[in-house]
Amino acid sequence: MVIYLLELSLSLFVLGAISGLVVEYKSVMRLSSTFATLASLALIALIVEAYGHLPIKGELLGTPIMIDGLSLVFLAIIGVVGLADAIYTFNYMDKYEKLGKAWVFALAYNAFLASMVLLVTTSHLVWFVFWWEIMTFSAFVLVIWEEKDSLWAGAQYYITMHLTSTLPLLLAMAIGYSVVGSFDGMGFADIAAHIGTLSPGLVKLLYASFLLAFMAKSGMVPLHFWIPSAYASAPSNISTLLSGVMEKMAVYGLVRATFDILKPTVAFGYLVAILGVVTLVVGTLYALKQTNAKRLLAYHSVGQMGYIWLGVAIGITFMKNPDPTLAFIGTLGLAAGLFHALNHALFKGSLFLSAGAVEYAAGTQDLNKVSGLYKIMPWTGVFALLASLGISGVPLFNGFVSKWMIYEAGYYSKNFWFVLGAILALLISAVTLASFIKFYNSAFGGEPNELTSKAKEVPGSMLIGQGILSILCLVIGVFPVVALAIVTLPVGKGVITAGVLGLSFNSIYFSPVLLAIVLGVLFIAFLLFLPARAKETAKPWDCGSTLFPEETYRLRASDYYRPYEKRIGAFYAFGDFFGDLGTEVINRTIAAYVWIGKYFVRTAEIPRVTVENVDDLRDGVTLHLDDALIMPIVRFVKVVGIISKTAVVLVLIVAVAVLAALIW
Amino acid sequence: MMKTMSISVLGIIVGVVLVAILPPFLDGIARKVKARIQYRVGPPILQTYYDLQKLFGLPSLRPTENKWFRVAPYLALASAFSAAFLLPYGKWVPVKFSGDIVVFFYVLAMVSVAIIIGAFSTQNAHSNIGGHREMMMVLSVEPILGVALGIFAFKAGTLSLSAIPLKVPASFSTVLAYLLLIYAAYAESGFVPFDIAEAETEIAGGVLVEYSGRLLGVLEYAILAKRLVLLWLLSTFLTIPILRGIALTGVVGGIVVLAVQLILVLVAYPLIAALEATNARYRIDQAVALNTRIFLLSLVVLAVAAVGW
Amino acid sequence: MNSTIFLLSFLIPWLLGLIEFKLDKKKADIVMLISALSSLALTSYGLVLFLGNRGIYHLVYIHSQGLGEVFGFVVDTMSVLMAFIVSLTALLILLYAIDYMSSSNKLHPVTSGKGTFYGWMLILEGAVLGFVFSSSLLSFLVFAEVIAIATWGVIRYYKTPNARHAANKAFGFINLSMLFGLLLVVVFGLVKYHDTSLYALTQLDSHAKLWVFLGVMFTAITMSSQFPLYSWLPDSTEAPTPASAFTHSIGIVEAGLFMMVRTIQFMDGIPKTAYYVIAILVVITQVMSIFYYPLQKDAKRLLAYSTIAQVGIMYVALLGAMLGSAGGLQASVYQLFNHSLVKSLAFLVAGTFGFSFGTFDMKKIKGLRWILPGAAVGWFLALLGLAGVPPMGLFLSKANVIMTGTTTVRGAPWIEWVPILLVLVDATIFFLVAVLWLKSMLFGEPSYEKGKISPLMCAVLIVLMVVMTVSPFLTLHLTESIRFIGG
Repeated sequence: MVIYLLELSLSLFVLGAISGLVVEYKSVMRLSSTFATLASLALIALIVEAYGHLPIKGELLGTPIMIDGLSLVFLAIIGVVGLADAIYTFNYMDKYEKLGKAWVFALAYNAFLASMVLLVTTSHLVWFVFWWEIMTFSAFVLVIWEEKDSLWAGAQYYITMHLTSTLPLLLAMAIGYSVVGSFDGMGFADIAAHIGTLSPGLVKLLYASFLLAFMAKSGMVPLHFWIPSAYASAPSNISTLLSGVMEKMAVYGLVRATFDILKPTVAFGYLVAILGVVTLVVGTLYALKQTNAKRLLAYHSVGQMGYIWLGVAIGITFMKNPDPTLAFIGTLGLAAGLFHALNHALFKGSLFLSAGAVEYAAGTQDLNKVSGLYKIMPWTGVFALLASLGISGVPLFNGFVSKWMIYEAGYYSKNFWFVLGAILALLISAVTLASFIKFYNSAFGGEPNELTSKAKEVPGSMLIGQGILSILCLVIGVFPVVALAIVTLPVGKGVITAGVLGLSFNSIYFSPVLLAIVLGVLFIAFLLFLPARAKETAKPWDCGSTLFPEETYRLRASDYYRPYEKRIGAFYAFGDFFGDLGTEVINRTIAAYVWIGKYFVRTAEIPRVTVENVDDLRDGVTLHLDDALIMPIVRFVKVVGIISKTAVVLVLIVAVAVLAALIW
Repeated sequence: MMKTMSISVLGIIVGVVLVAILPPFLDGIARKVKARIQYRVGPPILQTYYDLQKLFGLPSLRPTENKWFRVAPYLALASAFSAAFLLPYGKWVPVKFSGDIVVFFYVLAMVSVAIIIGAFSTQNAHSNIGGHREMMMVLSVEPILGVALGIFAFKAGTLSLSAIPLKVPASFSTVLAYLLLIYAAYAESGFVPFDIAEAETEIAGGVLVEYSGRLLGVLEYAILAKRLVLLWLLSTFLTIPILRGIALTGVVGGIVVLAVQLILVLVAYPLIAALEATNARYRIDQAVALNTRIFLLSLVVLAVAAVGW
Repeated sequence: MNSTIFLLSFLIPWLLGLIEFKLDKKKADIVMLISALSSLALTSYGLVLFLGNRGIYHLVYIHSQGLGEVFGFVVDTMSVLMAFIVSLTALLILLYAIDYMSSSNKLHPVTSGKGTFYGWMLILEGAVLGFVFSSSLLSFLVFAEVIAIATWGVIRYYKTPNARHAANKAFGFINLSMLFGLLLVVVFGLVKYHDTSLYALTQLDSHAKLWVFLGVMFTAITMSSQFPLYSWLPDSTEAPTPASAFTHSIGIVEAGLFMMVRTIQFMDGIPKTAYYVIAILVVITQVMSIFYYPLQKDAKRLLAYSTIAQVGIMYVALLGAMLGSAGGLQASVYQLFNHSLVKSLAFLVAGTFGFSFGTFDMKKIKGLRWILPGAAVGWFLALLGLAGVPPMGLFLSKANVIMTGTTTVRGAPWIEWVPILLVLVDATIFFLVAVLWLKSMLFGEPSYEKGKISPLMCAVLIVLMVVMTVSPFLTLHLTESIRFIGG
């Protein structure tokens, strides 16, 4: 039944993919997003159906399939975000009608989602990498959609992916193959069974390959540089999938590779933790500076992935610890990481959809330019607010619960580095909050200005898309047990029931119902007993100055937190230094190439004297080594004037030789 | 069983009532002390009650259509009270669960956040500047508070706010953590020299400038309640480790501890008022600079704690 | 196994090819279609028969006391599949050529002499079909010579000075390599053993094996345009695009590799020296092509260098086979199949640039997706496919090459890792170049008027795209049955 549902979902994706045959732009968009919606619903049905019957093994198109708890967590992410995003896409893509190429969108969009479904359900390393590559490829096609800034962003994304994710994965695949020796034997479990035969050096290489590949995809510092421009220039429904779902595939890969192919070791756990902490600090502090809505969200994606990695790192470090308490802490950390992955998919997905709605309505992503949208787009405003509260980790919202589990795991580990990591994570959460106050207030707060007063609320389908994700943020925040039922599947809820601290999954997670009641009761009580009675309206007081337009009194997005940013300026300078360093390395490499390249080209024929870049070299005639050896002889023969005969002579020699052999 | 239940319920009610009625009283003390230092007679001790009574009686003006403007003060007050419920009163804790320290941290921050949201919801330059200063204070002070609580949690081995003072050992790093906690609580409360967000004389009340009538009353009450919560946290952290033995024994012990907590707060407030009266406000950049330095220092203390001192 | 089918499949193109020289225009088209279609029909029928009755069949047609096995067939998975792909590609390319070789071609308008072109092409096709079934080095030599002559014929088709030079160069280089390679080996074999059958290779002593192997290898790598004699291939892009497409995807270049695969398959226990020789040459080729990629602005020349590197990758796979891994053989052949389809697509798309805009200069082409949407899609898929992006088959085959490669070099000195890692580096550099070209060519303000290609050309491109995406999954398990035969 489960495999049947998987097949159903995939066939619906296929139908969506080929709906480009309809040709007419709007029909294609409607049709393909309808199929994607249905396919996502089938996925959700699959989760319900598979729950409690894990693991499920099967075969699909000749490739082995295994659905276990870990797959289910990520299938849930794909299903829910895919559903919301597909509904949103129903109308959103009308914005790009001028560009045409609807069939490309239908194909790439459905392939993107389907590849991720297959990615998390396959149990075979080669097919894992194959679907991984399809995902990367279709994401590239979708990222460059606008064909303006996105071209460079997309190229940067794709090239980075190829260098830092495809190559390591191919290497990992090769090392894996070398222990099993056959294509069919490349299942995760088979490789894990034979991994002992590898030399220590190759095992390290295997760890490094997997780590690098997944770092690049989830945008761990220092491999996060491609994220802001790619997410900002892609259409918003695509940014949602990139940030909400695709990034998570790296987490899936990390957990799968570490636990099911390799062994979780303490040293590797520390490495992952350091990456996570550095990323959450760097990503979020950079996000604070942004004034472009989608760049801001993109940097927060980087930061939030840091949280997820920190959680997973606690799992990697402690889960195999002989001390049952620490082992439980490890379990908690891993569950927290996965939970945060799910939550991040929900709130970041919703936020990107909201940013897309703002762009759809007001035509800009610049937070300095928009203002007062709460009046014009009330629903979008509410959904953006819910999701902002979620990502900021405000109690009663989903982000709080998972972050809280991460802090718990960090603190209880009693390990200084993890405690420090948890504290930093806690503090960065405050920065996240600050950043989202800015995000929400500059877009939705204040009074409508010239640009926004012309805007109007987005179509219903887009609102439904945003609504699904945002409301889930609140629901999971108040009743985390809904999501915990899924995210604790991979870590084996029953394995450790009660540790020395009296901890168990029933007591360890924050049950916010109590707090919700206290806060809610207080709030409503105050509101009832002390109603505001604010009936009279008055214009804000402007110090008596009537000459300046109201607009000048507005706090723009770029004005928030300036002194704070200046105060931590050294941090930004440090980050920028590395950015410059990277650029410099690339420039030097190109310069070195041009220098060598000069020897491959007859530079004398280039009209300009200096060769500065590769493009200059392209105008020259390419030189060949064998030409240099043989052409003098040929020219000599030419000069002698018997060129037309040479071929004949050659053939004659061949014939004579054969004849001679025959006679012998 | 019923008896202990009813006693603890009583204890909780006492705590709640304390939080509900004490803040304006403490403010009255402070105003009196400040006035005396400045050779004025000063208002009566209950003046703040009269102020609030009057404000609650007045309708508010609306400078914006934005709902947040009206919701924010109530949210701030509710958050401050929720934070108060997480603290122990004597040996009684109204709301308690494992790891509530994180919730406390967040709920406390939410008071400021609600104020900021309210301030940003109107298109008034002073209000906006105030909101943005408040945010920077939050960003620079919360880290110190976080690390201080973190050190306590690390040393005590628990993330429960009410359990930490019962378990925290005496050590060099704990002492330093107390200093950090005092600083953070003081700065977070927005006492002079950290009253940068309101800055009455400079930006005409900053975050409060557009508020009037009952909404202003609610907002001011929230700010006062938050100050009490922070002070109560401090006094709890000082009292219970010392009276640890008594605190665990029976109802009387609980009442003794509660009394000591209360006395400590009542003593601390005039001291703070004296500090306020004799200091001038920092500029926001000075405050952020100071906070950043202290934050870095706090990380050192954390390292010290980790070493085991 | 009835091998008459295969015999006919190459004799018909030869026969009709000879007739073609006398024909032109419509008649030429019709004869060509008959030939190509019947060839495809025969090979596919043969393939179906073979799949129902698998095995390795050795048939000797001409055998003499003095010369041993002169002419015979080896019918196995490899040759049958290869024959099928040759005739399929040939048919598609020739269909494309019907409209390409016409007066509406902007770069090279063709008004007459179509028959000559078809003639050479059919002879080329027939020769390759014969080549893949050959069971002796002698018949390899004969077919290779026919291939060389036909290649010469198609390259010089436009008769421009450049084309003539390129044709002579190709012919000269290949014959040079035969003179010092395959021919010597054949003469040596005839003189000493009176036999050049592949089945005899395994009985040689190790000294003789080394020299025979090196001799065959020298010819093979020249046919495949590997270092040291490689530059004839980029120059040969002067040929009409369909001819280039055939040469690069399944013509002489692949024939060279095929001969190498056969030799390794039949020769057991190849000395390690041979391994090092071939490894060094392949490494040099790979490094060179890494440097050549970014320097090209001519679409066809860029593809030519990519052919050199892609075939180099097949040789890297053979390195594994030389160390005794059958996986190496499979990976090599699998890479060959996948490459042939992607490369023909790439060339045929490049052809549409010349056809509609009169230039192959990639710098001049902008906004392709607006002015030639079909070609834009094809170019996108072809370039990325060559770089090894799935779902195009080269991803799986490159992965296979690397995977089987590591199996054999695990625990070996690091130096043996070099060719395998270079496969990755090479793919990466090509990928970089491809992405940057795609970025500048496909998008932005169009630099030309809206181009026009005929429906037939468009259909061929679409069929190729579909076949290219589907075939890797069909051939993956078929190639797994390729094993060592000798010994």
